[in-house]
Parts: sequence; C-alpha cells; structure tokens
Amino acid sequence: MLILNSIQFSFQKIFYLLLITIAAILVTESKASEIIAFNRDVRPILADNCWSCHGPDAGNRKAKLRLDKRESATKEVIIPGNANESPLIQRILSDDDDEIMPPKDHRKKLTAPQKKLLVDWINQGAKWQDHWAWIRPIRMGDIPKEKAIDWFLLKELKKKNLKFSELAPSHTIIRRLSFDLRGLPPTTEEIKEFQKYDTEESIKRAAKSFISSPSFGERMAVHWLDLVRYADTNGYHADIEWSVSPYRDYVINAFNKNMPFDQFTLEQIAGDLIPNASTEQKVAAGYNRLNMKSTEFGIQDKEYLSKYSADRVRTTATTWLGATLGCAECHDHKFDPFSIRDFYSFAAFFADIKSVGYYPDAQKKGWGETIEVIDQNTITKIAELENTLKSIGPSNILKDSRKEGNTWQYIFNKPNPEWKLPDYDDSKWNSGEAGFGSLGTPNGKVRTEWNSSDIWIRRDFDLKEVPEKIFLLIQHDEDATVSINGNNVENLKGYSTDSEAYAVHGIDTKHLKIGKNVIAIHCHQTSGGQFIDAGLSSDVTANIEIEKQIKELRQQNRKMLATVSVEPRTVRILPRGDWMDSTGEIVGPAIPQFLSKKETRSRTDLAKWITSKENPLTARVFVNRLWKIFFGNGISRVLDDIGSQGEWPSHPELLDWLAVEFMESGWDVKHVVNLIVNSKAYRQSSLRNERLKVIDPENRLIARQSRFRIEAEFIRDNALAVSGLLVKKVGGSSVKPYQPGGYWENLNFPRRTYKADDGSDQYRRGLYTHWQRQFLHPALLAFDAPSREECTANRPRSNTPLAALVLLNDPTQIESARTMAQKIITDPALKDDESKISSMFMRVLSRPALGSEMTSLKQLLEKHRKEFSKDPKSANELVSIGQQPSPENVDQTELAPWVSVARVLLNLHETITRN
Amino acid sequence: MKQLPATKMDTSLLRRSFLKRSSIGSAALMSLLKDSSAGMIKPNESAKCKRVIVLCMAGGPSHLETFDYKPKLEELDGKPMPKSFTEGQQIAQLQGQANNLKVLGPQHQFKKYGKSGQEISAALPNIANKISDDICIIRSMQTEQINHDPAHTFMNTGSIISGRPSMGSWINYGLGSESGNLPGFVVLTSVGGGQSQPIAARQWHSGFLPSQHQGVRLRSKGDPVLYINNPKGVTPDRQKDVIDTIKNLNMIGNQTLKDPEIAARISQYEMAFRMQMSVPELVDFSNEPKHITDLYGTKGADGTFASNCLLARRLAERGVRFIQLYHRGWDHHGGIKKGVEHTAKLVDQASAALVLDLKERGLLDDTLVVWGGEFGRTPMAQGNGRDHHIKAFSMWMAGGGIKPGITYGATDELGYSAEKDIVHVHDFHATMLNLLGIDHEKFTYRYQGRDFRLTDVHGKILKDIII
Repeated sequence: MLILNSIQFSFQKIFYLLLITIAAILVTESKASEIIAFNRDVRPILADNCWSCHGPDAGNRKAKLRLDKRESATKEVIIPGNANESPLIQRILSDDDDEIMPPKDHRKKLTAPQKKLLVDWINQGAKWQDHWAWIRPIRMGDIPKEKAIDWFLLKELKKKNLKFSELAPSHTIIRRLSFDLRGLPPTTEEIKEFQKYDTEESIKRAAKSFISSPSFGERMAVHWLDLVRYADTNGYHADIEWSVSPYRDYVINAFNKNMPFDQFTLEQIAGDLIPNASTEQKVAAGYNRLNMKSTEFGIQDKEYLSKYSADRVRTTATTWLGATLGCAECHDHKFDPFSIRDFYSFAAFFADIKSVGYYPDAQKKGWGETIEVIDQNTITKIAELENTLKSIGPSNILKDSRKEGNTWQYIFNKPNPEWKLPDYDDSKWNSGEAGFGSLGTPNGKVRTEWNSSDIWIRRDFDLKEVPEKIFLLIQHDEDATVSINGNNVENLKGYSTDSEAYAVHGIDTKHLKIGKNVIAIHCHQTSGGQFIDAGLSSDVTANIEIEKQIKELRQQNRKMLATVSVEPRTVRILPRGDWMDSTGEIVGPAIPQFLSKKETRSRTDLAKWITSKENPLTARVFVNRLWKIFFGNGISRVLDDIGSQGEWPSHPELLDWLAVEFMESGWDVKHVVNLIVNSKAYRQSSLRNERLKVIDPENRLIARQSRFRIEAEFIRDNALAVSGLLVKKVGGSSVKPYQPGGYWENLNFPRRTYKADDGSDQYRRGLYTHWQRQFLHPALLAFDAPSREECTANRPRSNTPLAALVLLNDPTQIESARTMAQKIITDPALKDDESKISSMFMRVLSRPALGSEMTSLKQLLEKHRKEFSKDPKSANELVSIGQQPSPENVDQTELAPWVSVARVLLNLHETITRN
Repeated sequence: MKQLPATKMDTSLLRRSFLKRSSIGSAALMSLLKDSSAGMIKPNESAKCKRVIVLCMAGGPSHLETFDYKPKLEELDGKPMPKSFTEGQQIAQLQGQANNLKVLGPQHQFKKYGKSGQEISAALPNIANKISDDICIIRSMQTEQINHDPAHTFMNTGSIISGRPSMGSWINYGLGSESGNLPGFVVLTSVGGGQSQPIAARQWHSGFLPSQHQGVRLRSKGDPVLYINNPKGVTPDRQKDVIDTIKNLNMIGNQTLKDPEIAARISQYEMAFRMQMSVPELVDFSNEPKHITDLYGTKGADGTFASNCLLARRLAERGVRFIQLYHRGWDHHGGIKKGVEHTAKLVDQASAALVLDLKERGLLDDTLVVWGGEFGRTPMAQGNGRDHHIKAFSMWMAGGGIKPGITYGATDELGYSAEKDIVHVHDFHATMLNLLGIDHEKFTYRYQGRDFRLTDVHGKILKDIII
C-alpha cells in the first residue's frame, strides 16, 4: 500500500507540475497580447482588497479615500500613465510596515501578479469602466438568433485554439434534454422515437414535446421556489403548517403557459393591486407572505416586523436583481453603491402589506388574511363533469335549477285543494324561476324570492314514453309534499343540506303517462331560511356518481395566505439595523438611487421598474440562472450577486445578448430555453479530454457539456418514474412521503408525529413534498435541497455518506426497486436473465449494459438468488417494504434477488447524473 | 488516550477487506479518502485542543439559580425592580407588566466549593463538588436575541439570519474530520425538567458551507442515524454485496470518464458502509464497566442526557470533531425553584461525569467542554419564575486549554447586566476558534460576494481564561 501510494504521489506531482507549466504558458500568452480590461482584471482586485475601507461605505471609510470611483482615485492616489509616481503603487509596493497597503494586520494581501497588473494598468492609462452589471445590456453584432449562442462561445474557443466537442450519443442527449426540461428520465419509447430522426430534428421534436409537457413547469418551479423561499411551515420556533400550496401551483402553471416574465413579476410583487385582480393573481401576490413568521410567545411585535421587512428586501433584491442589497441593512454597502437609505426605501415598497410581527396562537388563529382557492385543474375538471352531467341529462325529464333556472308557477297563499291535479288552472299564479327561497339561505341558488312560511309550486312536463325508472331530485328547506298527476309521491321532512348533490328519491312510474304530466310541490318552513327546487330524471346512477365527484372536487379548495394592502407602516432608517432605535429618518418607497431616480410609490411601480429597459439587472440575472440548468454553471457562476463581488462572466457578450433577447422577445422564457437546447453547444459530449482538463478544468469555455448530479427532487422522481410508481398529478396540497420515525421529535407547540400519505399521494413528485422548514424531509436535505428559510439562488451539489444512505435504505428507493423488479420478471417478453437485466438497465440508464456491467450484475443476481431461496423470510420482508401490496402471484424468493439488482442500478452515480 | 477503542481496529480491518474485494484503484481511493476528510486549514501555534463538546442547556438556564449568586437580589426579593436597570431595555414575556416589575430573590442556596472556592448553587451538587476546580465559570455572557429560536441561531451561527453555517460546521470545514467512520459533527438531544422548547435542525446546518459538514443527529429511537439501518431482509453481507456491485459498476463507468466526482461517490459509499458498521457498536454500552455507567448515571443509550454524555465521550474517543448535546428543559417562566431543581437533577451528575471521565482518560487536555444556554433569565419575577434575559448569563468551560478553577467576569449587583469583562457570543466563538488553532478573523468563506466569518466582524479572544 505504501509503495503504491508513493508511486501515485510522484505521478501526481509530475502531473501537477505539467499542469502548472501549461497554465503558466497560457497565462503569459493571453495576458501579454491583451490590453488590461478594468472590469475583468482590475475591479476584482480593488473590490476584494481595498474597498472595505476605501469603498462606498462612508461610515467605514479610512483616510477619506475612495477607490471605487475613478474621479476620487485619480484625484488622490492614481496618476494615469505613471505608475511609479502614483501613491497607490508606492503604497502597495512599500516594504515599510507602516506604509504598506493593504495594512500589515489586514486579512488581505496582494500577490505579486496582482501588484504587477495594477502597475501595468496605471501605465496603460488607468482606464475605468462602470461595473458591467450596472450598465444596460446591449446586443453585440447582428447574428441570426439560432446561431448566436454558438457564435459567442466559438469566438472565445477559437482564441484558445479549441472547438466544440463531438456530438454526444443520442441516448445521452435525450436523457440530458429530459432531465433538464422535465426533471424526469426519458421513457424507453421516447428514446426509440428520438433515434428515428437526425439529431437536429430529434432535438427539435423532443425539446418541443418536453417543453410543452406539464413537467416543464414542475421542473422550472423548483429553482423559483428556492428563491422565493416557498415552504409549508412558518419557520420560526413552533414551525407549524400553513397553507400556501396554491402559490406553488401558480408558479408551475405560469411556467407551463409561458407567462411572460414581466407579467409573472408584476403578479407576484403586486398582483393584489391589479384592478379586478383574478384569484390567480391574488394567489401570485401571496409571494409577499411567504416569509418566515413567528408565533413564539414573548416576542416583540416591532422587532419581528423589522425582521420580516429585511427578509423581504433580501429576497426580492436577490431574486430579481441578483443584488445583495440586504448587506446595506446596518450600514452602506461595502462593495456596491447601495446605501442604507436604499435598503430602507426598498423595504418601504412593502410597508403596505397587512402584517403583524407576532402571530399569537397561530395554530388556531392562522397567519392573517387568507383567500380560498380552487386550482385551475379542479375548475377544469368540475366544468368537464358538469358538461357530462348536462349531456346525460341532469334531471333529463324535468331540469332542476342548479345550472339554469327552470320556470314554475307559484303561489304563497294556500290554493284550493285541487291545486295538485293535472288540469288545475294555475294561470293566475305567478311564474318564476326556481329555486325559490329567501336570499341568504345557505347553499341555495335563489332565483325567485320566497320569504313566507309556505309556497306551492307546479309545472308540467312532457313524456314521449314512460321510462323504466324515475327519480325525484330535490333540495327542500323544510318539509315538502310532492305529487305527480295528483298522486302524492313523497312527504319529505326537515331540510336537505346539500346544494350540490340533490337528494334523490325513486318514484313509482305508475303515476306517469305519455304526453303532459304535472308535478306539484308544497313546501313549508318553520324557522330559518327556506328553499325549494326539484327535477325529475330517468337515470340518476351516473348522475349521482358524477355529482358526488363534483362535490368532492369542490371541497378541494385550499386556503392561501393573502396579501392585503393597507395604510403603509412608517418606515425609518434603522441606524446599525437596530429596531429599537427610532431616531432614523422616515423614508418612502424608492429604487436604489444609483439605478434609478424615477418616482415610485407602490409595489406596482417597483414591479414595472424591475422589468423596464431601465433596469440593467433582472434579465441578466434570470438568463444567467437559466444557463446553469443547461450547462451546470451560470455564465457568471455567482448566481446571487451580480455586484462587484460577484464573478466576471466567462462570456459577457453572450450573457448580454441573451438578456436583450429575453427582454425583446417579450420576456419569453420558453423562447430562451429553446434557443439554448437547440444550440450546438448544448448537444456536445460531456467527456473531457486531457487537454481540456488542463486548460479549462471547470468548463468555463464550454468546449464540452457538463456532468452534474440532478437535484434532490429529481432523484426521487427518477426512482419513481423508472419503476412506474410515479403519479403524475400536477399541483394540489403538499404531500408526505415516507420519513424515518421520530424525525420531528424536537418540534414542539404542539408536539406532532409525521404521518406518511396513503395511496396515490405517496408517489408524487419531489417538489410536492411537505416543506417543513426546520426539519426538511431528510431525503431532500441529503441532496442539498435548501430549508427555504432564506432566499437561495444556488444549490450546492454535495456528495456525502448521508446521501449514499438515502439511496441505499430509504423505503421509497426500496419500493421503487421492488416495483421495477416485479415488472421486469413478470414481463413475458423477457425470457432470460440477460434480457431482463438489459431491460432494467435501459429503463434506468437509457442505454444498454456493457458486457462487464452485465457480468457484475449477473454475479450479484446469482449469489442473492441462492441466498434468498434458502431464506424466504428475508425475501418476504424485503419485498414487503412500502405501501404497494406485496405481490402474491410472484415467487418472492425470485423477486428478492432482482430487488438487489434494481437497487444497484438506482444507486449508480450515472443514474443520478445528467451528462 | 489510555486505550485504543476497539472499533478503530475493527473498522480498519473491515475496511481493508472491503477494499480488497474490489480489484481496481484502491490506492487512488485511499488518497482520495484522505483528501476528502482533510480540512481547509492547518491549526496554528495557538492550538490547544482538537475537539469540542457543547452541552447546550436549551431554554435558557437562570444564571441566578446556578452560577451567579446575588445577595442583593435576596434583599430586594418581592420589592419593585429599580427602574434604573430596566428603562429602555428589551423584555420578552414581561412586556405587559413593564411598569410593575418585581425582584425575585435567588431560589437556591449558594456555597463555595473546591480548592478554588468557586461559588455554585446547591442545585448542582455534582458540578460543585466534583469539578469546580476543573471549570472556568464565565458570569458575564451577553447575547443579542431574546427569544429561543433566534437566540439559538445566534449562539450557533453568530448571525440572526437563517442559512448561516453553525459553529460545528465551521470547525469541521476548517479542520476536517479525524474519524474515518463517523461524521465530524454529531448532535444529540434530550428533554426533561421544564418546558421543552423546540430546536430547529437549522442549529446544526452547514448553511452555505459544503453539506458534508452539517451536523448529523445521533438518535436514541428508530435509526440511530437517519437511514443507517439496512432495509428489512437485507443482512449486512447482502448490503455489502450490493455496495460492492455499485462500486464495480461505478468504476467501470469511470474507466473512460476519470471523473473525480465518481471517485468521491465511491468513497462516500464506503464511508456510509463504515458508518453502518460502526454506529451500532458506538451506541452499545455493554463494554462500558459498571463504575463508568454509574458515574454518568445511565444504563444504556436511552436518549437521556446522561446516556448522551457517555456517548459524547465515546464520540470524542473516536475522533469526532464537534459534539453538541441539547438538553431541552431550562425554560422556567414559572415555578423556577422546583424547575431548576428538576432540570439540574437530569444534567448535573452526567455533566460532571463527562469532565471527570475525559480527564481520567487524558482526553480533557485536548477536548474543550462548554456548558451553557442560549441566554439567561431576568432578576425580575414572572410569577414565581423568570423571563428570558440577554444582558447577562453564565456559562462554564473546561479542558482544551482553558484555565481551570477560575471565575471570569461579573454582573451588576442584581445580576441584570454583565459589567466586568463582558463576553459577547462573538467573543466566545473567537476564543473557541483560537483554542482550536484557528484565527477567527482570517477564517472566511466567500458567499454572496462577501467573506463570511463565524464571528462576523466582531469577536475578541478571552486571553485571560486561556492557559
């Protein structure tokens, strides 16, 4: 072992030396021939080393010196064209401990190349540029849209004598497209379909199909929900559940219907202020209520209002502006031109949102204003069912008045006893549309008012033939006597409560005849509201079922925390962020002053400015984050800070081109996504050759595609999808997958136990998982899903033993493995072990197994087959994990070894990697 | 260390045989494993200890009934609280009675103990009698957050904003793990004795640091570590067969790819397997002699504070870098006399036992033990209890380069406000990092364009309490 190690070490050493040499050659080559660019080369050095004492923060500025502005810097310490005479250079090169800058005891030190660069820069004239992101993006060149991405990338690659890598294999491309656009693996059929056409055409087709599938919205929502810190609990202290899932569904739907991003922005920030705002827009505005809130007894209302307010600033500024405005809560920003006044002025946009700091007894009393929501799916479904109901005839003989009013003759005073006979003359009676009742009667659809104690109603109906059966559908409040053709058929007491599904009573058909018939009803009420309506139908079995379904759907309405605009709270600048200090100046809503001086008053103004041409940030921030989905990293890798301390983009012109294209396309998200996935850059192989490893180890130049682990939610989705367990329902209340017992034991007020969902809700996509901020589901947590206590723009991609344990032992994974194994071994088309393994391999990895892989899997299968055949009890235990009933017509000792094979496949690095 | 814990040998053997079975790349793996557990920095010359055990007395123990005796408080018992103390100050649940605040005298007797003569409450007889000469009591703690949840967050992360790394994560990120088969940051919880305030997983989250540095809870019920138990019907051998095959296939994939992420994945699966093998042994006390279990007052790993303390020692022996115990039971808004007595009974003996046991094994020298809550309690009465208080509270530390048998700092005559040698939470962090050989001002992580520190832009090292 020792020997091996040292050989390896020296090999490594040589390798690194080589690497350093090559890198050095490259650096000298590129730097010598290029003029120093302030933003790319100089700004990062100044920002990182100088500005914390000589930057925008007036409160902390030393020696009154500013090095973040050319004007002041050249006035004081820089003589353009003459580095030797410039005090800045003298100070950074000084060997006197009292002179040297940064000071000796300072954390930061300049390296020799950095010093040299500053010298060269000043000698070249100390050219200055505004920070790239504060300048409005412009489109460079006139390049056809479809080629622009490749054009910009190739331009940089050429400089390094590089080109794109070869085309990735088709199974890789379809897998890539599928994970990137849907967060799901491709099906075997989709892979076959993909291989039918040439790559260009196949990509076009697959992209179109994936982007228009409902999974697209689910996939895109994941990152947005991280940003807006969407979660199902309040976050502080007791961490109890609240209802905000309609907002999650709004986001999914918005991406699915390709809502323009400016509209998406407006609806979230100020949807409640839109005149005649739709329910959907009000739900969107719930964005403003997603922040953590506290119900801890003893907290100060004012303190928590200020916490919530700061949180809104951080979240909105990071989400839309990629700006760390939150850093200016206690003092002016150290690196960017945000002042403390900007922070509180930004906070003032949200001061009108009805809110308290302390929500006492929220478990019972809730979290303030809510709205009731029926989601679009449900609305559509109800409409469909109602149509069906119409076509099969709700009360197909005599319509009741649920949908539209049916006209009856009616009278409030007791008529003579013949009133119910068919030939009674009711022409003196009034006519009016049913239902009859007092306004405000719960549930009844009143079309004609009836406020006295009694009503008599009658009307006729025609029959071409006498049906086999007939049913009375009725809602009555209270006692109703019903007769048909003068025969008493029902005496109903009390009231029927259900306005959706009318009470149904079978009636003897002997009272009916061909031709004209008459129904007459007397309804009497004693107290409270009153109501009567009725219909007749020959077939209600289907109706009853449908009405039941409609009723259930209607009960699926959910609550959503609502944004309600009230008289704005006074917002003061809080010196040092201290909420107890009320000496600060009062401020009104304003955009950070260096970005815009425009007069703005409301959240609507803010939203409109955010998506205006005047704002240089939002489009860049959004497309940069989009780029990460498709290439593994942003064009600027820092997704949450586009300011001075962010990262100079690898392809600034491309970033700007995309940003402008995004805006000019009408903020069309799907359009930009299409441009990306149809580019040549996107379809490259992700293999890296030795040369790329050295020149571009982090793949900034995109001479190849990237390989990276898929997100936490999609790891779950993948296992459920390849096993066929996945339930593809979009939206709805959050769901609870299996979770280790006792995981919530440290929650209190109240103490609670987790109960995993039964039935189909157990097999939903990861993004619907109940998001408990303090104790996020451990399978999601292990793969870096954020707790969403704070706005998160960038999820890390860790690789830990805890994640390995999830894939190895989580019942969801085991049940998926078992279900998949079961499918494979009961498929009559698969005759032998090899074809079964091949099929399973294809399902999970979208490619055929290599010979060596096959051998290894077969060995495992054989070994475990032997073992389980001698140990049926263990086999039974293993195949019984999960809520799916354990199979009865399958030999469990044969199924169990296949579960082992399936487990291996679900655990592979390649399985959870998109490449 | 007097005895090499059996597990170290067992698991290294196990690991060797585990690696032997796979034909390729063992050497590469070994070096990679080493790298992945290495820290970002080398401890500097100030390093005095290697690991930390925090006994977090969650809920906010009253300093006035434990380590900070105030005779004047006794005198004023039942009398109005002098306005000069409370005016303009933040209060929590007493908000409604701000004009009618009364003093509550100390509810427990204090005496001087040991050679050092440290003044400790009779509610903590074991700490007082057995380890008063080993500990350094700090009476001048201050924090910034007056409610449990944010106060814990502040104590653990140095920030009130969620999403910042906890101290255990920082330390593991900095120094790396010394354990080849256990996580470097382990958290244990227990309850009892008072209102058990909730504790969020945020308190041991790695925030923006790489996730492998997050705290891992060791639990007494269910799986000791989440997902550590094999699925039913899967024996350890079968599990190993599965892991071996996973490894084989991953390696086949990596022959062409040479992707370090795959190599890392393979090593994480090995670590996972080693955890699966070592955790059951870790929580099995059967090889602990009776005098040791008696010392702690525990019979088995049953989730009590006593058993968690013994587990803490076992974890420390196995090289775990940061061990944090929460005992949720110190929130005594009412009935503080009985309350403190009850809670103290659950933690006193084992706290002292842990220090004695570490000392006996020679581990105390390089293990820092910290005992304290997220804040203190008011000198003012809340009925017959006390409200949350941030201007003064007590903590103690022992071992790991801390001067034994001293008291540091002091509060005013009513124990309302720390006034001599005030120790802010940031100062505590700075001192702890210093003892571990980490310069708290230079130990940073770049996030959202800023170099973050555990101590934010504050923190002074308490040189006077360091040996």
